[in-house]
Amino acid sequence: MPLITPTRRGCGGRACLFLFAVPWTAFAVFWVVMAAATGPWWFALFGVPFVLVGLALLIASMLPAIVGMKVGRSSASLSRDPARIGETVQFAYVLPFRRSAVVDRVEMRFVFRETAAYQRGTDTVTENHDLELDSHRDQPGALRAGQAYRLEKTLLVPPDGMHSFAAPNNKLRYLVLIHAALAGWPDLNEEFEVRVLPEEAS
Amino acid sequence: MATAEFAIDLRGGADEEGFRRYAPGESIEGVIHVVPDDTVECRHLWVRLVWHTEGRGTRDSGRAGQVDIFRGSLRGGEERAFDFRLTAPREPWSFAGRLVSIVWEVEADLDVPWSRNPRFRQRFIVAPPWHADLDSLRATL
Repeated sequence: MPLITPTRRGCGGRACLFLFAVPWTAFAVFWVVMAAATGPWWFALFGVPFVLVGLALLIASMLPAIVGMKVGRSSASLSRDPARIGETVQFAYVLPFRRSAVVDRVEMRFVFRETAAYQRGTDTVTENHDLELDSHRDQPGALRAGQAYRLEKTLLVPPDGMHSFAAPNNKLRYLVLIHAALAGWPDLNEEFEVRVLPEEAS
Repeated sequence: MATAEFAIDLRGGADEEGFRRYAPGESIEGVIHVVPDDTVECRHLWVRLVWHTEGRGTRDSGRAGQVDIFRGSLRGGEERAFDFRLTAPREPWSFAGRLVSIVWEVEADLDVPWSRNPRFRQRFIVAPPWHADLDSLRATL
């Protein structure tokens, strides 16, 4: 079956957050140290909240790496890529584990997503609306190092549905959303696109 | 500024409560009626199939095809009719959703020198015959 690559993997793109968190935290620590060394001790307390914020940003930015210590790179495949309107396709998903873990639950949702992007001032705002077509929920429990969680699901592209569409500001996509909740670890979220052609399944 | 009155009669396809619906790849035929206010030298009378998005997002648009159906002089107040034929695009299909809608139109564009081109658009539906969900599409037209 053809492999498909995720449109979103792990805990989201955190590189910008990391690049921001490093100088923020470094300056906050530097300020606290200098304040404690040159002024009254209580003056340095003013900088402590800034240090805590910086540490929180650092931890948040490293969540994908933290999850990666436990979970390997997932893979997904479709029996047909791209699919056609009214067609059933087999979706297979494998999530390997590098270390033992307790997986409280894995949720899979097959959705038709409308995405609209627009300008608000100088910001680009993106809105999504999901129409859920199918869902699946598992409670795998404890998995040992070297084991993998496997999911196979038959997905039906609705016969009266729309095909995939991508323009710069507006998109219509079929997505498989995977959400894995690991006990004591950050959750894992992944998205896989199921491309659908403007053709009827024969 | 050049102005003109237009009317577009679409033929072929199927009638969907007053709107023409064409399957992808089907022939779109029609007649464009033009009545310019003043006598104009028409460099081109373009007929185009164009789509655009509506809804929350910034507008995207595209063009599927165009034909030049007339060049010459049009007399003021005199109605002229021109036939045209184009092929319905394969995609995107017409769509009406919560955030995004896709609307197809036939556009008549009267290209006149040294003036803004008078234009007229008429909506139609692009959807395969077996595509059942047309109620929401009609709501956008």
